[in-house]
Amino acid sequence: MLEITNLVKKYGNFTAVDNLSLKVNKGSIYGFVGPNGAGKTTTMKIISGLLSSTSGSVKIDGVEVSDNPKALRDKIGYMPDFFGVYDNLRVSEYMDFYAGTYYIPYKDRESLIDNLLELVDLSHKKDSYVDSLSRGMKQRLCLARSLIHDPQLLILDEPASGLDPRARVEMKEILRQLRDMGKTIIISSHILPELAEMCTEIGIIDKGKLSAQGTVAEIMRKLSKKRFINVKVLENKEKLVKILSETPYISDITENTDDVEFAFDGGDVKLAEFLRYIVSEEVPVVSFKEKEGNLEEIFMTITGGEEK
Amino acid sequence: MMINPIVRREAKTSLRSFKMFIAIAVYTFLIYISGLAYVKGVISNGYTGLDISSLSFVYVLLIILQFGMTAVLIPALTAGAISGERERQTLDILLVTKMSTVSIILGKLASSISLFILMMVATLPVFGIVFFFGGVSLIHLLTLEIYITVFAVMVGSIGIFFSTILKKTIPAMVVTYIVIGILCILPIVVVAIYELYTQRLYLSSVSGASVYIINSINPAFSILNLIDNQMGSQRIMGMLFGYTDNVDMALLFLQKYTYIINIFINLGITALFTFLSSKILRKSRD
Repeated sequence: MLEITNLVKKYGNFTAVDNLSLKVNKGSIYGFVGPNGAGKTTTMKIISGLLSSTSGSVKIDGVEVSDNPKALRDKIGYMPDFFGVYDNLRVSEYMDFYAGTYYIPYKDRESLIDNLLELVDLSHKKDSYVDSLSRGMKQRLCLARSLIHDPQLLILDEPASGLDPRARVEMKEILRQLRDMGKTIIISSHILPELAEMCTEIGIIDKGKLSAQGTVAEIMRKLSKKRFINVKVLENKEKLVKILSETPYISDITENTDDVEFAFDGGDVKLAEFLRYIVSEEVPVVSFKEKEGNLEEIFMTITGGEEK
Repeated sequence: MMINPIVRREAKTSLRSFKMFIAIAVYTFLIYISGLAYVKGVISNGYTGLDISSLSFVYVLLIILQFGMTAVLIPALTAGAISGERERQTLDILLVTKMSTVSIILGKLASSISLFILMMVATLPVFGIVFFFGGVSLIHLLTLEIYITVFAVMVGSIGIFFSTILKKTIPAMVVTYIVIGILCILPIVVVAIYELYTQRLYLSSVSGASVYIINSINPAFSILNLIDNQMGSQRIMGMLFGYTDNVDMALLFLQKYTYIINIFINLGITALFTFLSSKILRKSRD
């Protein structure tokens, strides 16, 4: 669906996007994560055709964005990080205005607007003035607006920023529905855990460079300094602890009431071998699982812990 | 046929705004008061009948008032066209739509002008008083409204141009006023310098034709030329630039048609600034 190759954007001597390459498959939700000023918005604006790149290529369905920006506007729905609304305009009129900007015939508009407002749960606000809506409602309305021409690719720049927890949950629910509708979504955030659970893939950008890319699990595996394993045994906990303390690639052993936790320095093969070994040593293992890493910690590690 | 969505939207939002209500109210009030005060003066000045020449004066006064208010109101209506979208953070959303930048600029221009036309229509009854008592024909009234509309469109295109290149609305408005001021004053200054120079050189009065040629770009001069033509004399021009005995064919032609030449110049300026605005906006998109 989207392929970015060696994208560079410079403002004078400052490089906002530095040789960035990524690929987003059709139907996936791609999380674009990075601290403020990392180059997320610049990249998204280039994809949307709002900014030209210094060099590199951005292709949507094989078509270069800079070659045919007009044709690609049909395929892209863009929601900026900051946006305003018009005063003295009702919700339905706001939607009608944007339907007009995509030349959607008058006769098709009413049902289309009703459907989209229902999707974002704003049907009851149809006749309200846009400037009277809460921030969460405005965000949802802007999302509905970006869907007015039924785009295949949605570019959502920080759609959950500034929302309260309830509004965030509502926004996530809408995004799930859009994923089920087969839309390809690129969504940015400076908060990694916010995106992790709903994205099929994540790209971490810092100082204009893509520092990691893949599924959340892959990134965590790649970037976690240690893997933390939790083992629960029926009995013989002392024996397990003894084995653990004698094994060279194991450290940070913590003995809890019901289980034992330890840091494991090695890959999946080595881990499977270790499990086989403790079972052969007649330690009755009830559960053996890897603890989920701390996303926040990983993010800080990748981006150098710097919030710009 | 689909109406430009910007025109549709702005018609709704503007007419619902209190600011616009005040603008229309003030505009019509001023025109009505001036017109009615003069008519009242004419009727109750002790004459047994109506003084037609005073009524013509009312007409001239109304034209000048309408022209002046156009020059003041249109920059205020158009200077926020693009910079306002930028300030409201709605420009990016507008630029990712399928609307071309020319459509966006024309939509902005049309919506500002349609509001102005609404104001003009609202004041037509005042002009109707003069028309009713005689002295001014329907053709005169129509010519005047066409001239004022083209002038408004030209000022609007300049307002939108500065709204496109400047980030903020207030500077865009101020620069538009300055440009309109220069357009109305600079040709007069050029004429004055030219007159002084040629008089010293030839020790005689120059042909009035040069005054008209240089000022054919000047809308203030052209509206006075239109008034002179509608009143059937060259009284205003004579008062301002002196009378000349040296009336040749060229001068006669210019005396009659300078305001029409100015209409075409204004249309040219409009086309140029609309093109430039759309080009600059496209550059900001691509």
